[in-house]
Amino acid sequence: MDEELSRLVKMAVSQINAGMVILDANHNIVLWNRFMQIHSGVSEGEIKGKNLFEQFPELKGTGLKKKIQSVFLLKNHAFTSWEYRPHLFQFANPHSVIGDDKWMQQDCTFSPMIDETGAVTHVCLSVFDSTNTAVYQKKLLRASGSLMKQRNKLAEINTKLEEAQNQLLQSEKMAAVGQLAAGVAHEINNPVGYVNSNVSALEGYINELLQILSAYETCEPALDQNNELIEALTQAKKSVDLDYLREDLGDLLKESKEGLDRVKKIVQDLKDFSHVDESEWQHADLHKGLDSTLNVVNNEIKYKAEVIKNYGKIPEIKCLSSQINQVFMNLLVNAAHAIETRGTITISTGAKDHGVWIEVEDTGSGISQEKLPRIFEPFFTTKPVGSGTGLGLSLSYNIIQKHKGTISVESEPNKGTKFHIWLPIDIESDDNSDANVA
Amino acid sequence: MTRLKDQFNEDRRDALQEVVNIAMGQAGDSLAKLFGTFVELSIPKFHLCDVTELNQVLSKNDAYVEKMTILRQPFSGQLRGEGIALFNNSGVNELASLMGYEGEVTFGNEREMLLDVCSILVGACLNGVASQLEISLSYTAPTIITKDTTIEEFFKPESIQWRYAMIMEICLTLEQYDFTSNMLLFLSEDSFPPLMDKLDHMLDEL
Ligand SMILES: Nc1ncnc2c1ncn2[C@@H]1O[C@H](COP(=O)(O)OP(=O)(O)OP(=O)(O)O)[C@@H](O)[C@H]1O
Ligand SMILES: [Mg+2]
Repeated sequence: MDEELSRLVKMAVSQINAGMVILDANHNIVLWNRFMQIHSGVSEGEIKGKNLFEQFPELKGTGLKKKIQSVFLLKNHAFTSWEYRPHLFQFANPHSVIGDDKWMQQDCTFSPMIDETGAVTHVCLSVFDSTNTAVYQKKLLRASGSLMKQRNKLAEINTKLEEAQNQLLQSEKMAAVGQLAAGVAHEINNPVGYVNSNVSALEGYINELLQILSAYETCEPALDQNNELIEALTQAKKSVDLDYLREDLGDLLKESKEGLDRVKKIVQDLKDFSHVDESEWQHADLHKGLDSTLNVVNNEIKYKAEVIKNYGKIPEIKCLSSQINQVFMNLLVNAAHAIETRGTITISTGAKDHGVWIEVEDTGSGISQEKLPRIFEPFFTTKPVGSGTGLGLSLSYNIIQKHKGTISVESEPNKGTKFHIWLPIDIESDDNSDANVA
Repeated sequence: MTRLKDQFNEDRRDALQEVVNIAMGQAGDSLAKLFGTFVELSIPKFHLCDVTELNQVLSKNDAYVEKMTILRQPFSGQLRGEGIALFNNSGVNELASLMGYEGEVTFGNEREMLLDVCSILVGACLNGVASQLEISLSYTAPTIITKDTTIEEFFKPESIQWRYAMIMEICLTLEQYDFTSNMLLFLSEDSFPPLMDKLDHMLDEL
């Protein structure tokens, strides 16, 4: 090579704005250019002929020897990238003003140096300062990361909104049902009222008529027995079966009155259940709520299950009783649905920890281990399309939460399911929090 | 396309196969030395195909249905193209110690190691070919394209710039370590004329 060119190449190697190191087959340093000298603070004279791994022990065990070996063996190029290995040499970050990294980020290349025979005699290591790229890349990553977070948050809020809307819909539905029930109750109340008083009056009149009839009958023997009239009378009595009629009249009236009482009771239950007029927090007797709810859902239950009540002694609690009744209704209907042919539903209550617990246990199909954690999710249902919305339990869960109570479930497939509810006596009293801690 | 297929006649195909076989022999040797374990390299298969046929050609290999880590290493010079290395994500820990990474396998050194293996494989295969054909190649740093993608999802014809390519398929196995990597070397269309010239040159010398 002509001398001028050789001088220029040397100069270029020295001046190039990248690190250049040449290693021999034993990893001894043959060349250490200006860039390396400036950033490492070690002059070429000090380091020339020394072993790279002895000068920089932190490079041991990091796969570098293999990389270099691969270059010698395969005439290969090997690389490191700041993304996966921020730096090979720990040089201070020259971009100390903009950078938040303490050290210079580096991209490095190991290239083979081949002689005339085609053998690799040395490896040339070039070190490029990638701090700028790295800084921007990291900024971008952070920005897209926080965008991602915001996006996820929005998505979360969206689902929450959807849930809230569904619950709103469901409680609106329940409110509408309640109002309808109250309306029906009111409409039935009037006719039932006058039928009731009419039946009472009828009972009086009939008793009086029967008395008069008896009086007439006592006169019968005094009549001429061969008279045609007496013949007709006997005939008439026989054809209507007067004795039976007397007996049956009493029974009919009694049954009618019982029926009317039942209608009155149902009307009262409908009113209690809907509580249209008391949408406020009030002290309520949960046994009353359970009983009126049982009456309302009686039709769904009576062919499926025998209901056993294990009521304990419980205080009244402050609650929105129409909502608590909704919870009872959901649990009772679910229990009845879970029973295939015939079973029992056991309702137990008791007092505990400044509150009241209620358990609804059935001998139904039970819930499998995989499904159990999901039953309180809105829209989770195993019922056929059109027959279950899957909102019952999620709504119940929210009502109980609103009352600062707890609802939990235990279930064993093919054995049955038990829902346990606990409600504080007074949600505003501080006692409850103490009780929960204790 | 047919013109290219005609150009790649039997003589030239045989010559290239010969060159590649020798190169693979050398590569296997060097890789065994490097890894310190027996290395099995399959006999390379060639495909000359249109991008639209790419998936059809590749789908003949069962290995490509799995989800894989895909890396690329571009090369340029008289031959231009890309080496695509496919790893099926097994045997990574063993490979790390084989490659001289000590301690726990972290995100960073696992990635770097896969990149190392990619450039080693591409280099081992191509350098042997290049030196026999007396051409010089230069390499750009490899990059990880995706993790967990099948090759079919990856090679969408619309995302490839070339119309035609020559593909060389090689499979590397380190039996002792349950490690397999498939490699595809793509030669771009414009590398054909110089490659054919070089092959003719070799044939003349025989
Ligand atoms: N007592 C129970 N026994 C067995 N499975 C039950 C019981 N209670 C609830 N489940 C299961 O939980 C699911 C969700 O119940 P949820 O009351 O929320 O909705 P649903 O009854 O399906 O529909 P609806 O909105 O009409 O109440 C039910 O579909 C059922 O699979
Ligand atoms: Mg339900």
